[in-house]
Amino acid sequence: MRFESVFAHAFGPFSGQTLELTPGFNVIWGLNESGKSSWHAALFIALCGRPRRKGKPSREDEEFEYKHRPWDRPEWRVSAIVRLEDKRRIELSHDLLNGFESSVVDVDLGRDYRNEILCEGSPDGSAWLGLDRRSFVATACVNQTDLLGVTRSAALLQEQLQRAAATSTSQSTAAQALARIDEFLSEHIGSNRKNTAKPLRHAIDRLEAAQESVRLAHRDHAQYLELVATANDLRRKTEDLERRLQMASAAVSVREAEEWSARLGEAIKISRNLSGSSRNVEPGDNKLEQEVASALQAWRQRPAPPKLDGANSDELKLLIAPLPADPPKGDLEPRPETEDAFGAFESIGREISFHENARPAGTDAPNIAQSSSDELRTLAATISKARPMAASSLEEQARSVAADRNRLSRKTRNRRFFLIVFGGLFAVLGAGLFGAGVLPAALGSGAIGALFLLIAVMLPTGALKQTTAQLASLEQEIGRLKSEADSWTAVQDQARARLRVLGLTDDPAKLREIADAVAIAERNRVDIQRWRTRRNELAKQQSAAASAFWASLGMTGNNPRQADLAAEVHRYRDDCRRRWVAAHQANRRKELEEQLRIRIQLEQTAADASERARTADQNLIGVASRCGINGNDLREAAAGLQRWLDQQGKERDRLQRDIQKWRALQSTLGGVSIEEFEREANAKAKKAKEMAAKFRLEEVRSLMTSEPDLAGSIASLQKDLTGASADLAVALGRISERERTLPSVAEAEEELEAARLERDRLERLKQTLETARSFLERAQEEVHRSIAPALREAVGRRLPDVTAGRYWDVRVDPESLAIQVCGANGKWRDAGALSHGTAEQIFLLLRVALAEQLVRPGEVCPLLLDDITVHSDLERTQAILACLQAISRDRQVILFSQQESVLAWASQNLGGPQSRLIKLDSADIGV
Amino acid sequence: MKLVVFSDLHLDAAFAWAGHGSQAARSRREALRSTLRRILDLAWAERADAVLCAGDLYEHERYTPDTAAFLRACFDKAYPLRIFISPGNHDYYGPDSIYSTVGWSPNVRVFSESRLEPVTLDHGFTLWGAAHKTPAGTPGFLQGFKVDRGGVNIALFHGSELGSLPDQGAGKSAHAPFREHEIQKSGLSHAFVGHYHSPKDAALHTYPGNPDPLSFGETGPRGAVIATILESGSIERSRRRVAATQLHEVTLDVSGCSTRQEIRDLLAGRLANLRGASRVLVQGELAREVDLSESDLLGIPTDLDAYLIQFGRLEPARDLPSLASEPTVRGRFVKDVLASELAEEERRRVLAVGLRALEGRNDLGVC
Repeated sequence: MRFESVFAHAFGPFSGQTLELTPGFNVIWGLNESGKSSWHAALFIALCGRPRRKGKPSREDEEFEYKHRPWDRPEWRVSAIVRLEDKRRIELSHDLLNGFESSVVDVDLGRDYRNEILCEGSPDGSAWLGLDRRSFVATACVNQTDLLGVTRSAALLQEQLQRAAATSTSQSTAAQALARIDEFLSEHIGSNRKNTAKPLRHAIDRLEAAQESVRLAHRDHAQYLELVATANDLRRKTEDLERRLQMASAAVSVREAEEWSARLGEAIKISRNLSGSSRNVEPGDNKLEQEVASALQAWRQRPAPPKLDGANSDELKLLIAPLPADPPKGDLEPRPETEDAFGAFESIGREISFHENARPAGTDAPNIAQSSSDELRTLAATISKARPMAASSLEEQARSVAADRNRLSRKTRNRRFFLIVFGGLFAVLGAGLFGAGVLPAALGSGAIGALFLLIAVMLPTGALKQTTAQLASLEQEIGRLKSEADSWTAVQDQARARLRVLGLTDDPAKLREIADAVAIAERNRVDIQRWRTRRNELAKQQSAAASAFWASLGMTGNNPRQADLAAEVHRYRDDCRRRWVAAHQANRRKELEEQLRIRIQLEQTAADASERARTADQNLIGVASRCGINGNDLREAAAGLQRWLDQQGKERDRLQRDIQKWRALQSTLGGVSIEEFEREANAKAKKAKEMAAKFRLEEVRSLMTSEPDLAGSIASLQKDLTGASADLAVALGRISERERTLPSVAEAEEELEAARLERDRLERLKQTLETARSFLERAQEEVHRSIAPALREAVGRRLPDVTAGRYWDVRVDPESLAIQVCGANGKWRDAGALSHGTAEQIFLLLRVALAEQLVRPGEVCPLLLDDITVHSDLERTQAILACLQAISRDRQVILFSQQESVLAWASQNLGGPQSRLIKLDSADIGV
Repeated sequence: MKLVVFSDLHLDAAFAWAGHGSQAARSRREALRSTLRRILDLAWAERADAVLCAGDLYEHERYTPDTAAFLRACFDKAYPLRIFISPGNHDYYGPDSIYSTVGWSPNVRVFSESRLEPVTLDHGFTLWGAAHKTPAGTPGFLQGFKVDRGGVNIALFHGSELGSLPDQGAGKSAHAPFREHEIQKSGLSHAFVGHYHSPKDAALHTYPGNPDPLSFGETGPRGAVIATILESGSIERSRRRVAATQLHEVTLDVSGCSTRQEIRDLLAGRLANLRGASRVLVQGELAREVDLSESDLLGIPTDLDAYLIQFGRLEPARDLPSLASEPTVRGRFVKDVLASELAEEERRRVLAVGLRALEGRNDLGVC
């Protein structure tokens, strides 16, 4: 894109004026108040227009309008013709007053491109560059402050680069944006750790507290409902008790009223029947009734004669006569202790007999004085021991070995002697030859002599040492054999001396036989001793058993020792058997005597019963006749008498009841008249009716029927009602107490929902922030990595020209966009460390490169530079202008300046179709 | 026979949208009580023979002691106007429910059985009512039910007409379900039913709907139903608004506003003359330089009990496709976010955060 011209219809101080521009380097020079800033603004606004905003304009807009709106004309218009790289020539025209009416028309074809570049409500020509009006300002418009910034700090250069890379505006770098997100996350969200006080943690704590509050509110409400239900039950129970109590009271009233009513009726009836007096009512004579009742009772209770079976009294007497009157004295059965003692006696006797048969046989033992069988066996073994082997053969062998050793010793000594002699001779010979000066021979003779001496020293003596060792071993064995032989002889002598003392032979076989005989005799003596001891024990036991036997028969202390226990026990057993038979017969006699006594009584009773029955029958017939009941049938007479008696009883009872009722009536009336009693009864009936009106009559009747003790029931109900009322009061008190502190479930739930929403909002915001950060970080890395090589290529392409060959390469850190340049010496230097002028030139190249990078492919962005050299010295200004001239070969450069040095440089260096110096004259301004 | 019918008043309901401890929630609960009073006043004014409540008069899990006293006093004051209540799943009849613990005035009849019980309204007119006795699992009252008398028989209960259940939204569960043909099959002329908050006038049954909206989005004519039942069994219905206040849905388009104050002024104008509570949906094209958050829009003096701010599609005044074509970090960021698989709302928020951060702004708390 290149500006061809800008036409100020009415803009700032201009009216109908045009600024023609070349496609290359345009230097627009003018003094102050010559309209440079107005043309600069007109260029920008003609290309980018102004955004259409509703409502109140921003401060920037107001300031722009204040500066550039003509104050003396009713219009504000500007237009420009630009040529795009696709050869299109477009005229952009903006009426800045009338609703920002704008037109974008192809100069050649007349096409309207307005909608193609609409941005914020108005056409923006920078859109063809891939920019918008803000990014165009940041990218293509460079003012002096940018350069001054570079001169102050290299870091600023880097930051500006990052800022441009971030948004192509001067707003913020990506790193700052990331830091801003991090800070916001930290301050306004925070982590959810327990120990932080950040909003997210606070929201989580609030949510947990709200959840707990809801739980507690529901729990308290449920407890409250339980209390309500309990109170309700108690209330119903109380009401039920009250109802039952009222019903019982009503029943009592009804019963009382009915009683009064009945008694009133009865009193009236009695009064009518008895003429209102009880004096005529007296009980009559009932003697006949008593006689009838007595006779009837006697007849009914007349005894029946008993039926007698079995032997009569005479037959029993005949059976009793032969039986003994008294039982015999003495044992009826053998005593257990007697039988046990006799059994023990017999058992021990059998054992003694067996023991006698098992007596061991006796054996005669030889006389061996004070010795024993073991000593005899030891002596026999000693004297039968063989003599140890003699050492004679070994002594012979030792002598032979000693001779060999002596022979070898002599032989060795002789050899050594001859070797030493020969060695000495050769040594003497060598010394002589040495003295004669025959040195080789002297050395040879000396060497031989030394050799002989060495052999003498090293002569082998192995055979001699072996022989000496063999001899020592033989002598040691000989000594051991001799010692054993001496020991054997001493033991033999000692054993034979002991045998002689005992008077025994020194034959080992005989000694062993004697030892065996002695051992058998010793064992037999022990067996016999044991047998005798057992025999004595059995004898004692038998004697004790006999004593126990006699003691059981009552003969303790004087029992006949020689008596025959078997005969005695048989006699005792026979006596017992005889006494048992006699005792049995005596008992039978007693039984028969008792039977006889009872039989006599029964026979007497039967006779008496028959007499009483006959008398009762006669009495019954007699009284029946007196009562007018005739006949001989006793049963019919008794039934007739009973009917007569019942009738008489009823008559008497009725009369008696009348008397009692009258007396009760008199007592109830209490001295009042029947009329007064009737009024009272009516009052009670009315009250009962009222009390019973609350209930169904059947219920009251049912209660009266089922509950005989209504008074007790009422007392019990009153007691229950008192208890239930107290319980109800307690329950109502608890409810009242709970109601004062009962939390609102709805409000707790509302707080929970609010807390949940806040927690969700913060977590969602945290997620959003983290996601945005992630995207932003990735975008930053990708853009930096892609933009770095492009910048390097773009800057490096022009760097040698603008730095007069001092620097020929540049590199950009993709992470930080830090810039380094490389000079002829091959060393890399930070751009910030260079001189101001060089840094400014590099900065310009970077801005140009950035413009190339940010602008849409296929388009070229013009540079609008406003007094960028205002603070530079001449040399630096000329360097910058040269740099711009080089840049203008690729893109349009429009430089506004008021410096004479710029004017001078432009006058000398610009001209032709690609560059132009335009001088502004304040006289051109239509003031 | 003229009846005033209502249901689903939900006294003591929680208004989660109003926030904790807010006067708005309390005001809403008070408004529900006012609505009940207005229903009874309406019945008096219309000389109705009875008032029918088809359940969910209050919320058992949340009711306060004051509610029991209020209901008793309210119904007592309406004496001798007859009031019939069929408890629903939220105010089910139990040993600790208000219905069984309060000593009602004689004009109040609370149905307490889980089967339909008859009450003679007038000669030839019988009302059948039943109660939920548990918060869930109550079977349909019309299953196997058959009226045992002549004349006009109408029913009052809390249940779900299964044919209309899909229209009630996903969150509505079925309680005491029935189908409309069961009404005719059982010999009933008509059924007044509660549970569905959306009003419905079907041929054989009527859902009055909740007379006072409980949450935003409850649209349509709401109120109490005045039903006139003729001796032939036919019914004439009309609805009367009984809510003293309303929940309003307000959409605030902030396009063209260049400052927060402009937006506040715009909102104040939209909320003027409104009563009750309002939910404000903020949307439109927001100027780049406007840093807008929920707190900026709260605190505007109104006659409302409360208003709630909700951000909708609030597009920043940015040409995102143009930004995405920039060979800059911003361009790359916008391009990547637009190409990502983020949800639409999340994408909008991520873009807002990233672009604001790049613009050097600190208002990153996007809504």
